[in-house]
Amino acid sequence: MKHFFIQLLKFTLLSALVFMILEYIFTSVYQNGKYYKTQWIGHIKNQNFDYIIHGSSRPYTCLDVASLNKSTGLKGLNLSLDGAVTPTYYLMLKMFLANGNTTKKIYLNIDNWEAGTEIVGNFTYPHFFPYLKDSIVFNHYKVYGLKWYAYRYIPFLRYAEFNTAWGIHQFANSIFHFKKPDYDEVGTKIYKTTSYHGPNELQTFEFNTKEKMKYLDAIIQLCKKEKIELYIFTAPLCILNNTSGYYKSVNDFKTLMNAKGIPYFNHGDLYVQKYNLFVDEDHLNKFGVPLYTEEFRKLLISTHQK
Amino acid sequence: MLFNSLHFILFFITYLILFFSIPSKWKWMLLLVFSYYFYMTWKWQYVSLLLGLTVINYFLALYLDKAQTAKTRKYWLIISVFINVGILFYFKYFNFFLSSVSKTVNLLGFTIPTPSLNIILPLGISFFVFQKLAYLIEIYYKRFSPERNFGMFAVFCSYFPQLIAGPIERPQNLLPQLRNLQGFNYNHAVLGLRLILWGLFKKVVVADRLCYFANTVFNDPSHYYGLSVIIATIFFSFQIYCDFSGYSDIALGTAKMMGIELMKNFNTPYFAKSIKEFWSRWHISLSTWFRDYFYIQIGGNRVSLPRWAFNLFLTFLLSGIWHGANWTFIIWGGIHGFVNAVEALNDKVGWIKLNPPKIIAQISTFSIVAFAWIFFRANSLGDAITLIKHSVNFSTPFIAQIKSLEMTQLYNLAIGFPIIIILLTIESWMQNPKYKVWFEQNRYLRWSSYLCLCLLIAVFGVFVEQSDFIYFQF
Repeated sequence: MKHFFIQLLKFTLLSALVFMILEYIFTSVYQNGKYYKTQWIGHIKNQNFDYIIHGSSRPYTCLDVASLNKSTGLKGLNLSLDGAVTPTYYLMLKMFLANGNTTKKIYLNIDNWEAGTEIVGNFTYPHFFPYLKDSIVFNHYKVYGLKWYAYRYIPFLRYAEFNTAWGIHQFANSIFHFKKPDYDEVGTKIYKTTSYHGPNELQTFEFNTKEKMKYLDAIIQLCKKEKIELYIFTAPLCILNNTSGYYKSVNDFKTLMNAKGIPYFNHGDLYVQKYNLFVDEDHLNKFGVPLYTEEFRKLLISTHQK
Repeated sequence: MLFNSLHFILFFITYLILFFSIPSKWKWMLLLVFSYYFYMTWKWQYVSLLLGLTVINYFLALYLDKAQTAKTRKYWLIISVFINVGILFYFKYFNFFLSSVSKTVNLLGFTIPTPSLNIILPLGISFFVFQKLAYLIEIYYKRFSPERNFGMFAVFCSYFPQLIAGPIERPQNLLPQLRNLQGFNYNHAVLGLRLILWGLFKKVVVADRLCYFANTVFNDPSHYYGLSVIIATIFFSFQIYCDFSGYSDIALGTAKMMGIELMKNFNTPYFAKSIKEFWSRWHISLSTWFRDYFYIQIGGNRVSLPRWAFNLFLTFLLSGIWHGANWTFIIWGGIHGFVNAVEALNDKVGWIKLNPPKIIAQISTFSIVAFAWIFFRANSLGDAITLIKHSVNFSTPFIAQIKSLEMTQLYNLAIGFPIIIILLTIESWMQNPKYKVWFEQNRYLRWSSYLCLCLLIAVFGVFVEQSDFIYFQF
């Protein structure tokens, strides 16, 4: 039995060595890529911006930042990430600032379902794997359980488990860039489809102002520390049940944010039931984006003239 | 608890540590406890079914053995078959039977509602019921004496490596080995680990990777034509082979590590040059079960030519029904039965004398097998017919059909054939005695092969959204 375990140990050590080398190569190559937004953000270093748009797929797809930059003369960036939640916004902001970047203002989209969330964000966390050895990323994720230690310390485990996202195809793509990302040079993705394929039933949208908002508070604190003006907004929704309960909840949230010194702008009810402007219940289509971008331009100018 | 899960790895390591630490006389008890725990992790309520069947068959075997006259023996055998098949029928076929009766009555012009009972199919029931039947039939023919130790018999009925999806063991092979459980053996451990590694490669790299495109097409047959359907059918053919044989290899490997030799269930079936040969290489434990306990019992080939053809057809039809309560499985079995019967008759009578090159014979055999898989995999008979019709329709270009697929799906499609080529190449090496000797004698070659397999598993294996082993549903 002893001989068997010695052989097994030798093989395990040899495998570990091979996987460590492989992980080093894969990480270096992945960090060089630009297909995922996390990779792209990794390349933005030591730049100064007038503003950034931040949040989930909603601000990622509903604001044409390139057009805003052109019409206002400001330098802006869309930092939003598809599928992200508030803890992810906080992490991305920290990574962005740690890269030596600065911004005067941040416009952060917050919806009722994410204001107080502390979930890991299953859809997005694998996108941060090439950066897991950075202390900012690891410290953020390690609170989510032991598996994050396994991802960090067992060589290649994270790439093996998520090789559908980080496989050989992404390895080649990170080198040759043959598959272009679906966002533009300032980080915005605009849906090309125009038909509405979401539900038709109106949905209740109410902030729970009594819940703890750990990560939103952390973003507010970080912005204060870095002397960044933070504005919170809610992008348009299509199937909103805009009753008195909705307006009360929005006002309550506004009061709460104002008490923390943060202005809040609600645009959720701008285009309710205008199905021709949306692809689904909460994402604008290519007809809706110019309209909302124009609306947002006014906010951008007014907040910059202050 | 999937064989390719962390839960199973921890379970198996714990088991092995205890297994090799305790004296031989206690080993079977440990095996029994772990086997029942293994089954309980699926659905603990069905442990009572496993235990109940074990108790019933234990006593049935004793009565069968004790019966003095041929008539009483036959009587006990009929009761045994009736009870076991009855339980299998209730859990697996009762709802299908009710809905078929209801549909037939409706066709005759009478309207009756389709009744349905809320029955959940116990995992692996077809496998463990058939194993118990084999045990009883062997005792009936006095080829095996019943196990008197109830605990030992319970281990035979619940042995965890092969409980859920076989191989369907014969008592002559498994029980003597269980009675004589050994301590640690270096060669067994190495060979066991080797089989586990190879089984893992087949399951997580080949089967789980190919299933993406196969599922895309088979779950949406109206949108795919020509090459898409052909590729999906080829992918499914290798998916089901690697899924099931991968499971069998892991089962054989885990048993081997305990010093138990389970029967080989697969022997490179897609290298077969005829359907008859295919069945001597595919799911061997089931095909030999049907051969020994059904085909030979109804006369086998010791009858007239038409009756022989009918016996073959009926055996394969039953094999199709064994797989599941659905017309798609019945037609799948029927196709194999028909081709087997035609092949057998042609061999005997010599209508058409063909002697194609080996590769042509292999490709044509694979084509028939793959065609039959369409029925096996399709969600309904209607879907199967749509897929067959669409497979010869090349009016929509392949590129146009796959254009809407996401990048990861395209990736799964692109690496499908290279993975199949790797699989077939390694299998052909494994068949070659010269390579076998070379492999065993060259340590560097062995270690680099293990390492390459580990790398292939890490880089191409599917670990997110893992699918269950297909044969678990049977």
